[in-house]
Amino acid sequence: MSAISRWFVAVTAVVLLAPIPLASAAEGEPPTLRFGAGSKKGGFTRLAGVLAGGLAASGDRVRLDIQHTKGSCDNIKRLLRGELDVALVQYDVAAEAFKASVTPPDDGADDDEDGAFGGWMCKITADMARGADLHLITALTDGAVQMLVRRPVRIDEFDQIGDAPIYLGKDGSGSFETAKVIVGAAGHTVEGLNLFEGGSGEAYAALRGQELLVMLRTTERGDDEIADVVASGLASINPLPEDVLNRLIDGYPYYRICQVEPATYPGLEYGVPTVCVSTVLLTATFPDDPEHPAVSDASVDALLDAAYLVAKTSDLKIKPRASGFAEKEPIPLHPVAFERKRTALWRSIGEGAALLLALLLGGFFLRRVLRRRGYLRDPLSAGLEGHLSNPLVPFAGFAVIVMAATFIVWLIEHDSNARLRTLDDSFWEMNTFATGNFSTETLKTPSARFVGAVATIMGLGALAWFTAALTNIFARDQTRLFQRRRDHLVILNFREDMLQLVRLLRSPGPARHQAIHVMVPEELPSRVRIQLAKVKALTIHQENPEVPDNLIGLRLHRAARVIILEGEATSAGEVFHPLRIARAVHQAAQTTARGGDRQLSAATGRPALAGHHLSGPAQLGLPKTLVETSEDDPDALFAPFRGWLHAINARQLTFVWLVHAAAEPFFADFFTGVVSFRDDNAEVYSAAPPPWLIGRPWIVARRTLYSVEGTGAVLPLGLYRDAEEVEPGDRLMVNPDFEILVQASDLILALCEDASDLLRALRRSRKVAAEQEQRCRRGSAERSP
Amino acid sequence: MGQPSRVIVVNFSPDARGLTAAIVDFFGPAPVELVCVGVVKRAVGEGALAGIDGVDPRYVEGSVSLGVDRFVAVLEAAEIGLPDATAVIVLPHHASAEVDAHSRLTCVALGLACGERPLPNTVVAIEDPEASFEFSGLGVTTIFYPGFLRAALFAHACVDLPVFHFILALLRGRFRLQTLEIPAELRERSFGDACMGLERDPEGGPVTLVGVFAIDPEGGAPTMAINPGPSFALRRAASLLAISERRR
Repeated sequence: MSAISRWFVAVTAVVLLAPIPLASAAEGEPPTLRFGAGSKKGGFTRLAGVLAGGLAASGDRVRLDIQHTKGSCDNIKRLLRGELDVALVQYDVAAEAFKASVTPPDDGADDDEDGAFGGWMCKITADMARGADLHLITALTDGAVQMLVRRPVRIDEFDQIGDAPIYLGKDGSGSFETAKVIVGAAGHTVEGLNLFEGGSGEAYAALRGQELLVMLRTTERGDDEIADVVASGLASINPLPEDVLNRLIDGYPYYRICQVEPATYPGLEYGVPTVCVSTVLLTATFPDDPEHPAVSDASVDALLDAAYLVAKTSDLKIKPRASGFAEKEPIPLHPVAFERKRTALWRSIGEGAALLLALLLGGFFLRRVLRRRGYLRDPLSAGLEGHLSNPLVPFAGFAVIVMAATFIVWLIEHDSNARLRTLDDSFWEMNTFATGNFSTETLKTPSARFVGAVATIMGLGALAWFTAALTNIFARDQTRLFQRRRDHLVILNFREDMLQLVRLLRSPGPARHQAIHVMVPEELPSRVRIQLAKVKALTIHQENPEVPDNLIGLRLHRAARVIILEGEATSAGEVFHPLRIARAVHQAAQTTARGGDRQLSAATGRPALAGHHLSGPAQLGLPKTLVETSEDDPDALFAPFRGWLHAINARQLTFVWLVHAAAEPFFADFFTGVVSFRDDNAEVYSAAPPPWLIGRPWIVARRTLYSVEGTGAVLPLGLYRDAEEVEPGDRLMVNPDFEILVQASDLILALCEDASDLLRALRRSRKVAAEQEQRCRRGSAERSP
Repeated sequence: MGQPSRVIVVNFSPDARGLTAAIVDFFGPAPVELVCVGVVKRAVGEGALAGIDGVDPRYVEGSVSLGVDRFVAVLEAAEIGLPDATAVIVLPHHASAEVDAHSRLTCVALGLACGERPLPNTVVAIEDPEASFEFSGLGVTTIFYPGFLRAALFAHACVDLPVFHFILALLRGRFRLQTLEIPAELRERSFGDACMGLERDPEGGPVTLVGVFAIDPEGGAPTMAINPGPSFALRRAASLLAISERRR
């Protein structure tokens, strides 16, 4: 045949066989598009019908000429041939055709070689596809590959299928093509499998008849027929093996990893990993072929309007999308769809920015309101804000890092990584990363790995910060505990030989846990400071104790005791005198007791020095204070303070002790024994009598304490009558008269190993007290006659 | 009237005048002889001791700074009756470069001055508590560190004010510590039984047992045990320790 003859035959064939590219519309009639659907009862045809309805409902700008085909393969081929204007095609098939269309021609090969099967889906050749520019209008619906396996068999690997019959779909359908590549990803060929021939209806019947082991169906999740089979207990949905999924996505990135959600089918209680593929609306243009004009932009616009309309009204789970439906989306968007996508993107950015601005403004005004009402304090001083040492900040930071990484990594890899199918998967993976367990095995893409590495580094930093903040809190609380200023002991004008006092206070005894604040002069040797610094719960202050302002921080009104020591002369000849320190204590305690109000005397400009006889020391918040002095007449010197201050002439007492020890040889041992807080020693303690001892004679109380069993040895010494009407010198009664009655204001003095022994003995003395009283009465009665 | 108590104060200085007052106050109306040995000149020492009621103190000039032998000679020459003294109080000599070493040498001199006889009841006040072991073997009865007394007083004042007052009263001699013989009927009983049975001292005043002098199984001197516990067997005790109000 000559070249002219061949040209003539070709033109004739085109004229006779090719359908009219765009059905010419009558005047005033909307254009009609040749629309490739599927079999008459298939899902594509239903979708086409819904779209046609949507077009009618959205202005009837375009009409569809729905053409029944064999499915995706047929549709793509017809589209490439220009026999259809628009077609529904499974995206994997469409993407393969697109790749075929962009394959550069092999100039060295003859026509036949170039047109040979290139391995593309649906046996499309590069020659068939070349010349057609495929454009994506929109993705419409989603299908998931679902592996139905006859119960009770469960398949973890495709090798387990062996020669058992398997149904992959109808040859030529998109479902079949998808199944083929899945089988390929598992290392098998379709030819090597025992394929069940027939339609899907027959395959379901075979499954029910126990003749079929496996069905691979690419259909929407929740498909009625699958639901029936699963509900009947004949088969279950099995997950696609993870390695198959990963290989599939690596070789065919037109799918995306997804899962069949729990409860999609009756009895399905967990997510089943699989791949999803979308059904897209595709069109083709032929730039070099004027015989096949492109679908007009107006028609594409109308189709998109219809798609968005039916997405709201139809029950076919239509979800129009321009992107984000496959791991890779190589087919370019139709310009109209692209413009819509860009507009939507800008709209989303605008909405997001507006929302962010609104949140910022709302937060700003809320903060202002809370500040004005005093709910928020100065961020640099306290509260949750602005605290680097607040562990909630790094904890929140850690949470933000994990959440951000979760979302970003999920966005990057959820379509391609079987381990990151859901946000939940991503969240737990990112928790692993952020706690320092970086791994390249979990994440596939460099960008996701970069995010994972950043999350790891930042997470470790946040955790370190969190740990440091917590440590700081513990240390601070411990410091606060050590420095607490309630029931604390204050020693003013400390000097070296009083280290013994600190040791005694820290030896086993009731005061060992009390915080001690020591105010030292500047001249105190550093070796003494070092020794003091080693004492637990002791805080050193270096101040002039004669200045009341220096004492205010010690909160003296809450102190259990204040001890004022005599000072040693400094190198400059300066001596802090106990009397001046006592004045400072008085003023500082008054100030802190009144919450900082000094109540200055108008005459002196200093806090008024009120004696205890005016308002009482308790009302003034004055602490019980002991002053060491060597004055000859300390009582006269400290007379204005006598209500709350006790002067101790230590030098004179030293002489007394020496004389006493010289005169009574065992005095020294006894004295040392009763004043030393040692575990193996007995000391003197006092405790309030229980109600049942009040009003009873001392002899009863004494015998009761001797007789209580089950406690440590308690030797009652006497009473301390802490009553206003009793002169201070008469309050202490050791070995009082046996008939003297115990009063409520009394304290019982006893020699015992521990204060708790005395308290325990008193608690348990009720019954014994009654017995002892009866015994005493009997004894008195016997003596009376 | 019995033999008067003789108290010898060594290393006396005028600023220790309060000690002499304390001696007079403690011994009260009982006759007491007070001998003060000091480093200050005789006139100064006697001047410091002048005017103390109830006692006629004697001052002897000398200290171990002269040398142990010379100081011993001074003591012997003064005829102060050291071995027969009721008590000796050795005060710290603050002018010395090593105060406690000076006190130790003083005790050595005192021991030499006593010759073959033991030192009387001797109390030494030291400046450094770590120096106390240096006095072992010198026959000293009590080593006293004034810092401990102050610390004890203040510590108890911090813990319990009534107890502080008790200690202060004990220190000032308001209470008398006395040893009591263990009555025959209690010898096989326990300390708890003794507490219940011994409520008055031989003079009829209320008394409280606070401890025992436990027999040393190795034959040594009995040791004081304060509050040994109610089950302590009195057959292990040489005597009882009791506290009572001092009646003057």
